[in-house]
Amino acid sequence: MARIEVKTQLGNDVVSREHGERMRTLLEQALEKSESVVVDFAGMQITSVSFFDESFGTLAKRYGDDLLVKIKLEEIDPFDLALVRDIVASRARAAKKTRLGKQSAR
Amino acid sequence: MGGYLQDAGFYESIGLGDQFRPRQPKRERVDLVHIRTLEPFFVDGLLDFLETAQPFAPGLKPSMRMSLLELVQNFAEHSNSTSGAWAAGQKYRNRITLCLLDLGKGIPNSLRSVDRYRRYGDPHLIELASEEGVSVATGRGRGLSIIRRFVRINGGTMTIISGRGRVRFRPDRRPIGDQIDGTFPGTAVFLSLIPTQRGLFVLGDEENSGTH
Repeated sequence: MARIEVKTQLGNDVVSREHGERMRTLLEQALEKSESVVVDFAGMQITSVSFFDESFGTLAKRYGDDLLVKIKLEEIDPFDLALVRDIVASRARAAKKTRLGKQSAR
Repeated sequence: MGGYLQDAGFYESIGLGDQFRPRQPKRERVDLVHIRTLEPFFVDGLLDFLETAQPFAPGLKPSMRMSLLELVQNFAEHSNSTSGAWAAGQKYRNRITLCLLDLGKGIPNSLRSVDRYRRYGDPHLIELASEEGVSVATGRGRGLSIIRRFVRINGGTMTIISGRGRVRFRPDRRPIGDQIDGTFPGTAVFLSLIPTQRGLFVLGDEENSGTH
């Protein structure tokens, strides 16, 4: 199982969409090599919609709700966990709606 | 709004100080800060000040940090402002008020670059920008919608002024949009929150997390 340590690999001030892109790249690389990934948020409180949307939200468009089955979140702050779940659910829902719309248009 | 911006020193910072003399400050406040990049220490410093002036209810601080970071990020990403953005905050009675503004493209102009939004008026476009999933080409329209939900849960208010439009978001009411006299050359977002309200923002579980 691949492992990403956020504080070590992305630094202390993880807030921006650019940080989210770096996180997404790390996740994509890890998911290519392994069925599941552990992301360790120890010592972090991120509270950034941009960061989580760019990383987890973008991947949720591809993987849907299964994303959080493939990715285990460890030591994550409760607020951040609620934020990630909300963003993943919202992006997965929107992606599903888009797919269904395209199918019905055919 | 004019007095608030005046107190915060905004008009002076854009060279209009002669026309708008600062009033005597009567409120605890954070002086105007000019933001050029997304710096979390600015947001954390502002929150620390406000928490000293008025202790926050448990659970409120992460929601406020999230809202401020998202506002600053949105300003940095979407405004196309060459002059950066400004932010200020103050405590007034039992509320804290935060303001972020820029002199960039503005929400209505940004949305009008997309064909389907071209025919709408400025207040309608501002309201649309605060709805989930509405954004220009990028699909990044989550920031304002999340802040709008948070403010509603907290029992606070949000007012957005951009172009010729102004929209007020209040708890338990539909947004109220109108046209302002003249044009605001950019976007200003005002948040008014009650820091002693619980206002715990549990995303995705809002029905169970109302104010107490």
